[in-house]
Amino acid sequence: MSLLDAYPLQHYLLVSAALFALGIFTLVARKNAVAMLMGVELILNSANLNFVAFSRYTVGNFSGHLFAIFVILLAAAEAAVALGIVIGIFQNYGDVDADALDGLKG
Amino acid sequence: MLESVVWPWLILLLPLAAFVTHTLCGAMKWKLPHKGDWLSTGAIGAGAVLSTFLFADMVSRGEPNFRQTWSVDWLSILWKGDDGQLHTRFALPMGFLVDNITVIMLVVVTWVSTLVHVFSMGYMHDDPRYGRFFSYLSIFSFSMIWLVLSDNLFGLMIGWELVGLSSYLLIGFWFEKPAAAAACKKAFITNRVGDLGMLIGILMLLSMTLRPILDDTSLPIEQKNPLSYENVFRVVSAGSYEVKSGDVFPISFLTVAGIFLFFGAVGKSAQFPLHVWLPDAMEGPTPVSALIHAATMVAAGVYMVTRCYRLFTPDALLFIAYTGGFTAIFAATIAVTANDIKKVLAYSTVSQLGFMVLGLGCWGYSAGFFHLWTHAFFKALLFLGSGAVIHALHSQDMREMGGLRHKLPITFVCMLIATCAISGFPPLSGFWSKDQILGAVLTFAMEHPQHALLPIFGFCGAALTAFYMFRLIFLTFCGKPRDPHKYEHAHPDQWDVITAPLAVLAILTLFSAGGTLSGERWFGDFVNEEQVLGPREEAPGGGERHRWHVQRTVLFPSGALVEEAQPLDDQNPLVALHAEGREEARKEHEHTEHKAHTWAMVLSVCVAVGGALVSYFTYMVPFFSPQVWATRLLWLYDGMVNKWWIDELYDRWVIQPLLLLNDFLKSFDEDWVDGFVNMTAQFTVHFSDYSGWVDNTYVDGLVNGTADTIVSSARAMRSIQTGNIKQYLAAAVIGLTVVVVLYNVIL
Repeated sequence: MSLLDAYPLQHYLLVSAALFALGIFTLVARKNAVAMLMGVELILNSANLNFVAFSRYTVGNFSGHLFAIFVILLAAAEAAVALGIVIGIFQNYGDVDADALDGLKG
Repeated sequence: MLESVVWPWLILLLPLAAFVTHTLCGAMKWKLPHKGDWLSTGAIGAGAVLSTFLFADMVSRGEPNFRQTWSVDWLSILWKGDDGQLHTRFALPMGFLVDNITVIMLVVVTWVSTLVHVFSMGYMHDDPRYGRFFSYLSIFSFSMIWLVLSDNLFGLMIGWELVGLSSYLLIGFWFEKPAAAAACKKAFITNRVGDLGMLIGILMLLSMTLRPILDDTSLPIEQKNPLSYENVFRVVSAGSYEVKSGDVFPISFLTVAGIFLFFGAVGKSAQFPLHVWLPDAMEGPTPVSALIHAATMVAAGVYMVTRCYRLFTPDALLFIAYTGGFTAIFAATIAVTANDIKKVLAYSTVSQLGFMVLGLGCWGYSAGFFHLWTHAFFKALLFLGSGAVIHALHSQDMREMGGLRHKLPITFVCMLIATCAISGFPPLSGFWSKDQILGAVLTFAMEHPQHALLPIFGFCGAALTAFYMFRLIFLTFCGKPRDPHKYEHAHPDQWDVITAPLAVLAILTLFSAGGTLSGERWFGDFVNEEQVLGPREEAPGGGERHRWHVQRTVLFPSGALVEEAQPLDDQNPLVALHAEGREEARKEHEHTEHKAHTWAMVLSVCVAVGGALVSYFTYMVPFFSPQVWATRLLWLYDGMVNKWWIDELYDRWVIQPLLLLNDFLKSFDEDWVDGFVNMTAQFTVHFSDYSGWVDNTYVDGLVNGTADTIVSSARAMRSIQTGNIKQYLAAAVIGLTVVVVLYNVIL
């Protein structure tokens, strides 16, 4: 039996949603900027999972996969840029605590 | 000579030229040699010579009704008639009238003025404003000659006011003295009161004379002047009294007009109750008193009454007679107690002017004017003599004089002549004129016994005149010096510019009435009412003058000539009766007149001698003691010394009420008018305050409120901008969740 039959789409979507929720939680709950980046990675990957799952269950071709590969690529680039920013922040503030970074407070 | 207009012109314009030259030189800071006294004196002296020639010509002609007029067009009111032509509605030409009255006045004015000019050269010699004094004298002479020469009432009024102005300038000549400054104001204002009456009188006459002139296009231009004496007399004479348009002025209108006209004379000739200015005017230099307040200006009122004699109805003349009579005795009583030598003369002048007016009022046309003529010379002499005394002694108080006849013999003799004249001793000039007046008054009283008070006024006044004038002579020149120090330092008389005019005036005083016992005749012939002005009965209301019983009882039962307006032609059977009655009345009148004049002559000599004798026994021989009599007749003495409280009465009843009114008007102005203006201002201020408050509170409030709302809402909003990325994220997630949930709920 194929994978398609063993697990319906909802399972993937639930996993994806859980991943997204975890990512959001990480972003909101964690003070550390690096940890928050990790949350972002989780969100991106939950999206990837959605892409792949929808592509497989509803369309039937690999266009969703292609999007996932692009997203992974972009996530790598994004991680590089974001880590650079984090390093910059650290160099400026001596810390990577996101709560302390309220220079834009009104 | 009388036919030529050149001489009146010269007499008029020479003093004006002197005045203009003085003024120009003053303005240009050119110095005239001797400060120009010769200029003014020469101008008026030439006038005196010319006037004398005119006078001699007039007398030698023996034509008392000679008249010559010249006029130039000065103001014409034109209008376009129905025929498209311009017509003169009426005109006010300015012109000269030369007749016997004019010539006599010219002689008086120019001669007295000349002598006063000469006297001033000595008297005013040390005055710092010597030149200005002569220029004032010149403008005065010009004004007075203008007044005399004018041929119409309007010109007379102009001269009248000019004379008032020059009098003001001369009285206030020593304006540093507060008394002089006050006196010139008083003279001017008092005269204004009289002049207002005169103006009303002239306007009333104008209202009568203008109507028939306006609409008549056939009249020549000379008769278009509503105010020329000729036209006024013509219109008010009985025949043309009823004016063409059908309006009839009642004779009482003319009476009132005459009384108003006479008010001018009351002011100018210092009659009661406007006499108050003249005694105060003695603050001016003494030559001024002699010129203006004795001989010329104060005579202007008498001249005016003489000139306009035919305008005065019998009722108006009665008013004039009582005014004059009362003034004559009233002023004489005040003169009795005055101690200032000039004050005595001032009240004497008022009294003598009263005599003139009394004479005129009692139909003594030539008598009143004759007294003007003689009085001018002896009163000018008395004033100049008092000036000489003051100049010698530097005092005006008779209590500091006495015995001066040794120091001032020339002055003494001259003043004694003048005193005898004014007291009425025959055969001096004053006797003739006063006798004429008293005769006229007595005639009047004999014909109208209800007016017996008038001769009593007259004779008592004459007695008092003799008394106070001899008192002046005795106190000043006789007895022992009461102030030996002043006496020692008095400058003795010598023949100079001060005494020479006195001598000339003394000669004039002796001979101006003719110099012989029948001397008064020539004047009476020369200024004869009936010859000059026409028969009396043709004058308005003239019927009443001679008490023509027939006319009164038969022709005009009411005695009013005009109001009845009955036809008086030859067809009227009453006219013959009227003429008969007239003849009868005339005879009766002449008889009364003759009797009255005889009695008047005897009585006037008696009262004059009596007055002088009482004076002698009071002040020379201590038979009556003035002190004892003053205490015995305390009420009388009190009144005399206090000038019958006239000044106080004026102060109490005229000046103070005026000041009260003034205060009231001032407070009205300040409280009400200013109050209203201030209230308007206050209202504007309050309204502005309110409007500003609305602006600040509501308009600005709206603007500021908007701004504040924005600021406060922005302040509220900025707390959302925490700058914390995690909160933003959380908000975004929550927001997204809400949107999704709502989306699902709604759809």
